Amino acid sequence: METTEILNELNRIFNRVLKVENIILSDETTAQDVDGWTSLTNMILINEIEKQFNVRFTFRDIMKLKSVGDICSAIQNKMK
Amino acid sequence: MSFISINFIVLFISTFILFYTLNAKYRKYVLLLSSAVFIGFYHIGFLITAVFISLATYYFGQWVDASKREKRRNCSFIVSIGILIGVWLAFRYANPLMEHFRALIGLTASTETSHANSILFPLGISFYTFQAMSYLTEIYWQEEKPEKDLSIFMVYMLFFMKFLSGPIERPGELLPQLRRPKPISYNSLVYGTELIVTGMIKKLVLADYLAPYLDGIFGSIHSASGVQLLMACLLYPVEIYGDFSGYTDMALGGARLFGLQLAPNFNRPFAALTTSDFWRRWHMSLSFWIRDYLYLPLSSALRRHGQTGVFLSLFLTFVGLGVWHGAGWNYVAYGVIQGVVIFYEMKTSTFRKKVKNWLGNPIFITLSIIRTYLIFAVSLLFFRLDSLSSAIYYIKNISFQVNTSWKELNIGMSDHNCIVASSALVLILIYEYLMSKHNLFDLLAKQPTWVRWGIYYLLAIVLFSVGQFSSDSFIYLQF
Amino acid sequence: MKRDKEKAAITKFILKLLMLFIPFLIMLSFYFKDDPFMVLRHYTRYDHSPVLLNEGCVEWQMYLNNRDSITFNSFIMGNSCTMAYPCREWEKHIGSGRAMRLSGPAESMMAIYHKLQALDKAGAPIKNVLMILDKESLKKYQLKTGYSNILPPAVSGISNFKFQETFCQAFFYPKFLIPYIDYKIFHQYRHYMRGIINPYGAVRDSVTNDVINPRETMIKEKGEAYWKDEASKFENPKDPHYRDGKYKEAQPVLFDNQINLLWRIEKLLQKHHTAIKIIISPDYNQICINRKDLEMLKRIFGAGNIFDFSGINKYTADIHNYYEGGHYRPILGTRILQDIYRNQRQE
Repeated sequence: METTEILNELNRIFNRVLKVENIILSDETTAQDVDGWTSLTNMILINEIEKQFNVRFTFRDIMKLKSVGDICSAIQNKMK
Repeated sequence: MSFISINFIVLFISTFILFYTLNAKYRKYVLLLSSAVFIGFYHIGFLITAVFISLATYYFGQWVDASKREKRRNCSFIVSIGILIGVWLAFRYANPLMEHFRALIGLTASTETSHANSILFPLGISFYTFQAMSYLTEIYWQEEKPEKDLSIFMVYMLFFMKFLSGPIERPGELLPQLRRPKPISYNSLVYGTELIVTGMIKKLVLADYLAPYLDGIFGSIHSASGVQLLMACLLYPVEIYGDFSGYTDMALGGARLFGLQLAPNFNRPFAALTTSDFWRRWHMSLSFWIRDYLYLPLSSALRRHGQTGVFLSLFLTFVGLGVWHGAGWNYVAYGVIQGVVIFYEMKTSTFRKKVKNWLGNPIFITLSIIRTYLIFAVSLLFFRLDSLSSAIYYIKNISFQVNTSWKELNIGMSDHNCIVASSALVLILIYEYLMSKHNLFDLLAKQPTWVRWGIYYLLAIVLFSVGQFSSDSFIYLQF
Repeated sequence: MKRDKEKAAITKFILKLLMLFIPFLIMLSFYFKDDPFMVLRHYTRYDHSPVLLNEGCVEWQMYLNNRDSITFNSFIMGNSCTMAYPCREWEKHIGSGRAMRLSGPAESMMAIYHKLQALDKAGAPIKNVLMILDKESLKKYQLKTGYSNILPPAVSGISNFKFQETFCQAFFYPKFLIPYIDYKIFHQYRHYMRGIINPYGAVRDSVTNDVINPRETMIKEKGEAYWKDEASKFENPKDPHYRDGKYKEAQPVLFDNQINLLWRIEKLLQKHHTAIKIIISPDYNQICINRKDLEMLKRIFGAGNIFDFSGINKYTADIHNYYEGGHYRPILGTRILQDIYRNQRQE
């Protein structure tokens, strides 16, 4: 899957879960940049992402995801 | 020994002299020796326990790391953590359990025998046990390698500046500093001293001015008036903040004088807009610990259960926070309140945004700060009073009667003490606000000498003349 | 190279610290040299100090200084109203007793208990005790802190370090330091120094610790004009019913804590077979001590040993018996002693 496609999907997921309208995600976006993306909501997001892309992350995988770019690469890796 | 005692000053100065006069390779041994003296000074049993647990952790770390196959690794990790928690829980619950046991078999011990038979809760055990668990977990997750040098590891566990009440250090933060110490700079020395002085003012001029009055009210809640209960509840967060952040400042400052940077514990907690935010600013080394080692693994494991999973993770995490503080149901209540409020805040975040748009930023921020403060103040009652029933009684009896005398409102503090404590609080809040915008210490360093020295002298005079040197206990010492 | 840089940093730091501390070290050396509170060293006399000293420390030191030559066995204790009872007057009524005053301003019952304990420990024979109390002193069952009220280690049991540290810190407190330096340099007593500096010279007898009250001299000089000038000190503008001739009774002050303390005092006095007399001061405000409290005192110490002069009576009626609303003169105290012991002789 292309990175831009993944980003679009992620955008939709973030909008839905965090209930915010105008997030624009890029490779460098981190939790600091997104209102409402905290350790509290992180796992809900991850769960939605796993459901959407039909992948499964381990706990250690999730801990390594620091930015949206990391998430994209991780999804692409898992989908191979 | 309390940080504010002649004994400690002597110990610190001797350590400082030895540290910088001996060959650099002996520095870790100097710190180790001083830590042993510091811990053993209270009671040799505390030293034995701490050394024992540290040694065990050292070998557990190597055991976990050496187990390469997943099953063996899981097993060694679980056993190690289990033993650490087991020992800690044993100490934590030994006395309450013994009391229950005695009650069960019909023995009502007189106070003398019960004191003789009660087990001393080892000083600092909650802090270093949790630090040990963090160390082992990072090894288990293969984020860190076990420390090979035993003396460095022991300093990591027992360093006297952080032994009493934290901060709880992460292996990745403190161990590298111990392995590759950098030569100290003049600025670090000055910064460390400035931190120590700040800590002393917070403790001696703020916390210790409030302590006698608040202790008086908390010690006799059934005879205090409703207004006094209200005032004590509102002021207790300030006292505990002055006490604990003062201690932390002194710990960080003292460590800085040896070239070590410890983790901060506080980040302007009373500026928090929500309880979730509050716990990112209050006792950070503990709250980040429970986030990283309890909440994240739990919420990850339960993530397929949506909101229920989040709630359960929060609940268990904050029960953990409560239990860390003490063995009674009141401590559990203290933790649970935080968890419930945070979950509620999560669920109502959109609603809060609407309120913010309706009220406008300044009013919303003010109300949020007040709300967060009040929630914390009420939850602290469960922390401070020794039983659930006392806390509930207290809350029920708070009165908002406005037409009471000033004497009741100021809970018996003399006018002079009120002025001192309020001024100290205002100054500390201003100081912390400014610190968040600019590094005040850097700014100070740039001022001409007479300005800097003028400020130093002013602080010293304030400390000398107004500081309550006679009290010598810290609230978080009991953990 | 790095080590040298580090050494330079440390040296600079330590030198700067020392420079910072120099003024404090200088002040501290003045403190140790001058010993303004007269607690660092032993002295033979305590009546020449320009600084108002801690009563408890001074009197205990005086006791220790004189006990070898004079076997004190009788003690006047209580709050500052003890100034009305000269030891020599009391000695007239107690046979072969030698008396000394061991009191303190706004003295607490706990302080009295500690002083008796200290006397007991020091091996003093406690044959007679005259206690001058009022409801304020009965209320206080805890020791006070602060350099004016703290009791010496031998009496209160606090550590020597804490004791000295209280005075050392009080020295640096601007409220003390500024008047002290001012007076030391200019030798001029100014009104703002009240409570810190003593401009009257000797204010206590060097053996019995009796008060030498400068107000007596003022009364001798001014005569009737004294009470005209001090009229404001005999009024209480906050209370519209002050001294209105109606019977008033104070609230009770003796609760569990106070009563336990009083029993402990009584037990100690029993041990010495002490002849105790407790006087409830004839307060100018003419408010009676609470009846229940009075009953309790009689129960603990014996009805014949409690003498209540509070309220509206011939003692509190005459303004000439008083220096101001809070303290009365030896002429009244002497009369009270005569009346108490006359009654006793008649029994």
